[in-house]
Amino acid sequence: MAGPRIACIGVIGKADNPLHIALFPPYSDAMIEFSFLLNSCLDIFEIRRKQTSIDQDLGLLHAIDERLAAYGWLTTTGVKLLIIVDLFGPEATSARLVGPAVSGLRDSDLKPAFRALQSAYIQLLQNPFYSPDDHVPTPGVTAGSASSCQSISNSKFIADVKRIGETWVPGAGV
Amino acid sequence: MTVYSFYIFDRHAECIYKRRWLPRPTSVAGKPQTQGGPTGLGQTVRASDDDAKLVFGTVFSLRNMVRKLGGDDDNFISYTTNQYKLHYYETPTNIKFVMLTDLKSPSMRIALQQIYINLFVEYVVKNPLSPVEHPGGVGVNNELFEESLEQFVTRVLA
Amino acid sequence: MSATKASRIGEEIWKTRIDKVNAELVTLTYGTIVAQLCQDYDSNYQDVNKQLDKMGYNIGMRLIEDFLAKSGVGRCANFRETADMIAKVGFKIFLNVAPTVTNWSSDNNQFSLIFDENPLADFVELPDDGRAQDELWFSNILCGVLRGSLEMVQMQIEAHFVSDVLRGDDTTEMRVSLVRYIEDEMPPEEE
Repeated sequence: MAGPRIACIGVIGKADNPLHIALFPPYSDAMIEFSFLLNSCLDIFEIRRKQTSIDQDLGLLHAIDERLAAYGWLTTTGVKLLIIVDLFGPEATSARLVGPAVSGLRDSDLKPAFRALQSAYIQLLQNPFYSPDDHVPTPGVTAGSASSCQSISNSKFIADVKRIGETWVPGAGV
Repeated sequence: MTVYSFYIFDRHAECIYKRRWLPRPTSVAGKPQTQGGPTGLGQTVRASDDDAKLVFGTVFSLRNMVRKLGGDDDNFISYTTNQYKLHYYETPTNIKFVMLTDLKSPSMRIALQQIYINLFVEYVVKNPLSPVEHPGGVGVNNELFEESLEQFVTRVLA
Repeated sequence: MSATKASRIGEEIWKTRIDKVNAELVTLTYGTIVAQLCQDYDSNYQDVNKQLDKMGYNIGMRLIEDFLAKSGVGRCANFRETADMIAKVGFKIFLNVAPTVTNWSSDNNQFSLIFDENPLADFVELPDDGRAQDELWFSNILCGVLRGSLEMVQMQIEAHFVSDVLRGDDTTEMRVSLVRYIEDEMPPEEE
């Protein structure tokens, strides 16, 4: 079971408001740390966005340490999909590190996961009872107040994200 | 051939559209100078409103009689007098189309069906601004329908 | 007319005489209408059902004319024929589905339509408020359409959904009952 696995998936709205964050073992309890990591990646989105002719797939955004690396995907509508990959996988404990991470992870390895995420998000939007307006922060209200924009509570979407996070392995479909 | 007049009746037996192209033949209209009062023959000059009622009564009775004699699937199509020919087409929704023409006219059944399919359904039924029912002809008397009917009768049928 | 002949007619009209429109457009439009109604009626789903039925009724009264114009079919000989006509021609040409006609009552006045697919309900998940799953009939507009269109061809019917896959049921089933045949209206008596 060794090898790269997804540690965290973040779906971030147009206004940098978190829509959904999913964590995977062994990081399931590290919400604060990963929120911080995702947040720092948003700045990289901003920088990349200014470059001309950017693709939806932003590839590697940021190698956080030897174990974690953040990859990004920016939809044309400004929704940001982020995947933080654990290059060692959940089996590896920091006690018996197998040398440096498999550096052979290519950007394209993440493509299927991003595509699956995007179609899950599109399916969510197609449900007429999902109202995107509920998930946009009201101008003037500070980002901290929770009432202005909720995260996604749709159980099918959450399950989809969970499935994508759990099944992805490099070089295979999701 | 010449088309004299055209009527549409809805399922409530109301005339929702009528149109006349030529004055009625004298034998039907009565003598022009006798308008407005009883004639010497005891015949009352009818307004065109009454024409519609008469036509409806006639086709309604004929259609019922035809069905009694020929079975439920039988249809009354036309009748001819010395002066004119009456053509009839009824949809399953009980909308009745009636056309009066001269005697030389061939069967107008297809033409009436065309008017229903291409003009009535397209310009009256599918017009979201026109009401579903047309009491007093509301919604039928729209420009598109009337113009196209005019064209159909003057160009296609003439 | 047999069911297979009705299927053939439906297929033929669908292929040759129907203007096609993007399915997502229809699905999203209908979904938006229902979602908006739920909002407008403050999630009183009984009222939403009623309103959808009413909208369908108004559509049906017009749609039947288009149906007759496109299909050129005449009056059905009996209610069984009507059922096949609805399922194999009507649904076929307007929604490109052909629900199964089944569960006839012994007096031939009631039947069920089973929908294997329902283009109106693609993508839909009912609101998770604990009531919508039990109270909202998402596709209720279809009941109204049948009621409106059959009334125009002199049949008073009653139609309602009895199950819906959106609610977690195994099938989507609509029950249709013939109430009576409507007599021809006579012109009002006058002096």
